[in-house]
Amino acid sequence: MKPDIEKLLERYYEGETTLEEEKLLREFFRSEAVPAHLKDHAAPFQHYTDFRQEHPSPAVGSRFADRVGAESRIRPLVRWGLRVAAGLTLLLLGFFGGMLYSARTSPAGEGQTASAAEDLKTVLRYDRVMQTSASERIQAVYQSMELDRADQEITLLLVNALNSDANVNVRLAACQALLRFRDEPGVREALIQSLKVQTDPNVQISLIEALVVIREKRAAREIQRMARNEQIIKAVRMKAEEGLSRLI
Amino acid sequence: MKKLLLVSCALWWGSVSAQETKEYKVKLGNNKDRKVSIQMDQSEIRIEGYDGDEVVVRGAGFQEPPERAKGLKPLYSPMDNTGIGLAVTQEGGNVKIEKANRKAVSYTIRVPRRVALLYEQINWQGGKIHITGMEGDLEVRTHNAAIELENVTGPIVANTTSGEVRVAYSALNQEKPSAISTVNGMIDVSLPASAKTNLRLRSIQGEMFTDFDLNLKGGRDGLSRVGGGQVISGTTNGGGVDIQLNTISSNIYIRKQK
Repeated sequence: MKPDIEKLLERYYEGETTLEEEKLLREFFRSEAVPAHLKDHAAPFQHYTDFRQEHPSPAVGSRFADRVGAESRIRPLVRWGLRVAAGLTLLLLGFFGGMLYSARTSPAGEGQTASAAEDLKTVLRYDRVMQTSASERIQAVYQSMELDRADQEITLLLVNALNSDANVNVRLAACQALLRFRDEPGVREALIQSLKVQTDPNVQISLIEALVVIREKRAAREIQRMARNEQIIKAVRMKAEEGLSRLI
Repeated sequence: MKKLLLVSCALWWGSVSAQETKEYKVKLGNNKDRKVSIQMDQSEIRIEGYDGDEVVVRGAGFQEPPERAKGLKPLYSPMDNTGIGLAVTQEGGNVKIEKANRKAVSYTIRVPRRVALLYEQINWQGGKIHITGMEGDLEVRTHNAAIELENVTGPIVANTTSGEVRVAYSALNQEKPSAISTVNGMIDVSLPASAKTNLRLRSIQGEMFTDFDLNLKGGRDGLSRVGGGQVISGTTNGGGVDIQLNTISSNIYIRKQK
């Protein structure tokens, strides 16, 4: 029996023992006849045995039982109606919170500027020229200058006003507006091209000045041509010369 | 003999006065959505605003086309349908008046006060346009005809190549901007002393005179000496409606109305 026990012990420490073998070991070490040299190994088996017999003290037991029975702080939502209401409330809170946030971050007048842009587009459309007065078109052009940016439709309308509006003062106003939107695509090229079609001296001078202000060197050739053109009045030719000297 | 003379005198006087007091009326309505377009040449035109709803045109010095032309249509001018040398047409509530003869005729046109007006001088043959008592949107384009606007509230958009422009505002409409540009004609604008405007002025080669305090920035008298020809932006009475005045070679005068 003893050599078996030693062998069993070895297997136990290797973790190779079966349950029955462990049982045998336990029984052996529980009995009184444990040889001296094996007594050191007895502890685990006895310990485990004892451990199985142990129960929590009555006090612990009652405390535990109390805890489990008592109501926890987080109230469980047992009824389904309450659950649905809670879910809906969360949803609505999230929605309004988002709206508030976006209203605060976006500029307050965004809705207003969008409609102002639409209004002035309507006034400047080429087919409405008969219904609008020159003053109304000038007003629309001035309003466009209050926008931060001009989309392509507006710049096209302004270029159209610059080149073909029947009233000189509208063309002048359009020149000023396009100067403001100099960085929008196509505007610089339109200003250069417009030099070729303008005949009124006031507009010609405004155009030359605008091109000089934005330092548009590509216009130099056309401006030089104007400076030499005898058909253009002297004041404009002088302005063209002055502009040329500042451009190149 | 005397009788013959008397009768012929009376007849002559009758025909002349009949010509002179010949009127043409067309109904329009006194509101600012209505528009009267006038195209003229060679003629001195007086336009008077009044509180009615008809456009009433009177011509003086008009002569009928010669007898030979009976049954024929003119080629340079539109067909006279008023009997006073004008072609008046109505398009969608607006009235268009064109000169239908090539003589120098003086017309007096009475227009409902609030109506918008577009006046064009179609060639370089003289004439003068004089408008009074209008509260509507006025647009005047001439080549060399002098433009005189009195007792108007604007907005005024006027341009001429070599005519002079004189505007006397009785009050200033703050809703729509005014703009006047000339090449070689002086501009004289008279505003009520309390008028609120944003002025943008420029004369390339001329001088500008005003008795308004334009609240200009920089320099003695508000004008820095850069040599003239640049744009001057100023305001009267704190700023208001935009008025832009441009000329190449003439002077600009802006005066307070006394």
